[in-house]
Amino acid sequence: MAVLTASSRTRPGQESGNAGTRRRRRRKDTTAGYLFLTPQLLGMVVFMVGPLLFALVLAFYHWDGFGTRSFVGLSNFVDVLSDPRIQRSAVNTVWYTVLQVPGLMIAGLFFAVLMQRTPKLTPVYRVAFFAPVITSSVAVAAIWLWLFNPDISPVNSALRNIGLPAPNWLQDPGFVIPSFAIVGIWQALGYQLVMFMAGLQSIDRSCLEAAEIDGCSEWQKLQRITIPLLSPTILFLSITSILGSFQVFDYIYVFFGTTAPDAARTIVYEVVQIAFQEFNFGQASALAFLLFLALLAVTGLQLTAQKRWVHYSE
Amino acid sequence: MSNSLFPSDIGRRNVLRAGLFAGLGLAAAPSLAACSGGSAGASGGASAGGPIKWAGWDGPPSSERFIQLSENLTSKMGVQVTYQQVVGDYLAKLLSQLSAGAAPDAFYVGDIYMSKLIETKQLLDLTPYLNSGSAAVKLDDFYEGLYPWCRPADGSPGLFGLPTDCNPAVFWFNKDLLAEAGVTTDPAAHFDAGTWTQDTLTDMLDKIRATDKKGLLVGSGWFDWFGWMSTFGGTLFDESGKAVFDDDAKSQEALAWLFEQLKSGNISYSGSLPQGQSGDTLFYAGQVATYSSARYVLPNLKKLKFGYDMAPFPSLSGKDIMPVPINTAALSVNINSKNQAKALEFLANFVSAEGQKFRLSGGGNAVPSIRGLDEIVTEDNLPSHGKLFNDIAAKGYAVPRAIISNPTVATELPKIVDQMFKAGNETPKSFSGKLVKLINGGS
Repeated sequence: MAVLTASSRTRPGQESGNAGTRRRRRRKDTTAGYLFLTPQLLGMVVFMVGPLLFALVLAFYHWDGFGTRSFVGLSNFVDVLSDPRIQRSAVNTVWYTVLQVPGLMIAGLFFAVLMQRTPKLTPVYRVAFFAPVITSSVAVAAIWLWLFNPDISPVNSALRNIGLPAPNWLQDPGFVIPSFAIVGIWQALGYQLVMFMAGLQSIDRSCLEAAEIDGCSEWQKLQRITIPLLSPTILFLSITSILGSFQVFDYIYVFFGTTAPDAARTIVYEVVQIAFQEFNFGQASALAFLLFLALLAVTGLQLTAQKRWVHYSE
Repeated sequence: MSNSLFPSDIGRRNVLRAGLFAGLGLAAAPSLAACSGGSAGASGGASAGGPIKWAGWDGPPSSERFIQLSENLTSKMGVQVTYQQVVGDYLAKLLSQLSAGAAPDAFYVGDIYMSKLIETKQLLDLTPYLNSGSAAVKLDDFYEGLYPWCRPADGSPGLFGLPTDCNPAVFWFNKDLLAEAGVTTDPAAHFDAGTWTQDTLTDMLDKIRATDKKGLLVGSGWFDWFGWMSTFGGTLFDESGKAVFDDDAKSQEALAWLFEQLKSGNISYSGSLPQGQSGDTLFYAGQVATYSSARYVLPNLKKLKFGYDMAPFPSLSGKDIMPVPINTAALSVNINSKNQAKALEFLANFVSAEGQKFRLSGGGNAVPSIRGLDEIVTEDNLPSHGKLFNDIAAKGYAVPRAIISNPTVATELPKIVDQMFKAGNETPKSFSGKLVKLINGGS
């Protein structure tokens, strides 16, 4: 049975009047919303979207940064794709990602699980682990430059003391990318840790308790309950970590300046070198755009694959 | 209790997806945006008769001196002179400013991009001003080897910058480590006695090698190893500016000596790390006994406990100061400055004897680029043979035009040298042949 309410007892004229008032209010709210957004949107358009579009256009031109631009079609892309130096840098970038992302995630999860078991000291550890995240990459690189110096490094002394070979971290072509990965893991670990801890805290205790009652071991609980329920966090962190690792630049720039050897160069380093050392902004833009496409493809693949392994408990 | 990371009514998948794509866009944006600049053209810097703005890459403590100098010049020149300190990547900022027509009236120019700025007509030719007779400085005041790189790469006339100061390569040594190695006469004393030869150096390095310290380092930059050829009489470039050290007998002999020392361990390859981050650190830490570098290490050496001094590079005669590389930067005037007369006046004052004295005295870390300022390099008698800095600068050479006129050469040269030094299987001929081919545009 229909129940008449105060609002439903309005006449047709009154109804349209109320609708008009609602529309006006909505328009007013929308206008106010856009007004509040305007400074941010303006900033984005001027400093982000505009340069982005300009860079995209630039990828089809030859331009040294000063003179007139000449349209070269796809030749910047062809040059970039066929340049052995860029190919080597692309391999280095992928190698860095392969080392850094899994290393970071395993270390993040490991320490998060450990910290969950020491609740009293958690805030202390969290601050300690998070400190490198808020430290500038340049400062981090400067510290590691000393730690990687084979002649004065305490790391190398420690390795020698326990009978392990002490590598020439930044000069040995086989060790330079792993060295970057070590620095990358060390600096980003705190963020991963905080995210994993948040994920662990959100896991329903009743699931774990039920598993305990059923006689599951710690390893089984981790493997069968914790990790599956953390999978959305793992997905998020893996995507953001891959995005970050593909763009590694600052450590290399501090370690090597503008003279990084082939074994140490990554794609973003090449972008900066081509633009600001070789004055070839068109080719640099083409390379940056290709990197963007590669990241888009990798992220798309990850989002597609998530259907198979990410478990949402909603 | 909710298990979700995000409120379920928003839709976690949607939030994740939206967040990730937003992150992707923002993450890729800097690398894409880094490639874009403003369009060329537009007007110049200061308005006519207005203030002068100038820029450099130096931060504290030099920037404090620059600000003070700007204040002094404001009073002297009758226009406001302001120093614009660039925090971060100087070249990227300068290129953006030039491209947008918003660059300062005068600015520091580094060797790598001088040729490009000349080629693209961003800089004012200083020749008419210097020839006018009204300039506070004359070209003859400067050491000849310091400014050829400020001329057009194609050999056409013009001078587009003046060296602000300089830093010639010298032979620093740790007196304590030399004494520990049983070296009784140090390089400076050998130079004074006229016995500072290649053999003397080899003998010294042999003795250091017998200890657990390194003797000497060599790097991959042109500044790091060109000097070992020229100091032993090698000719690196001919009159036309072409690299010839692959065919020059003295250069080949010098390279053969260098390779022998590298092989024996008397000299170690310091790698491709930039200055200030490799050899310097080892020298300060007392791990390497001698170090070929410039005066800019002096402020740090003053803080250390070991005894130190410097000498010129050794020579075949044992008593001569031979040409060696010099690091330098130039001050140039923006061709689009609307106050060119005052910008030129500022430049002349900045690089004049008075200007350099003001900038470099009292703990400065460079050598004057003009003659007659001995008191700067002999300040506090540190190092003891500091008076030689000016003599070395007078004989040396700044970066060869053949290297900086082609950005690819400038960037590839240290990389190729790095590869060859690390591989350690090159002969002097094959090493120099590959590099000469690169420099002369053969590859």
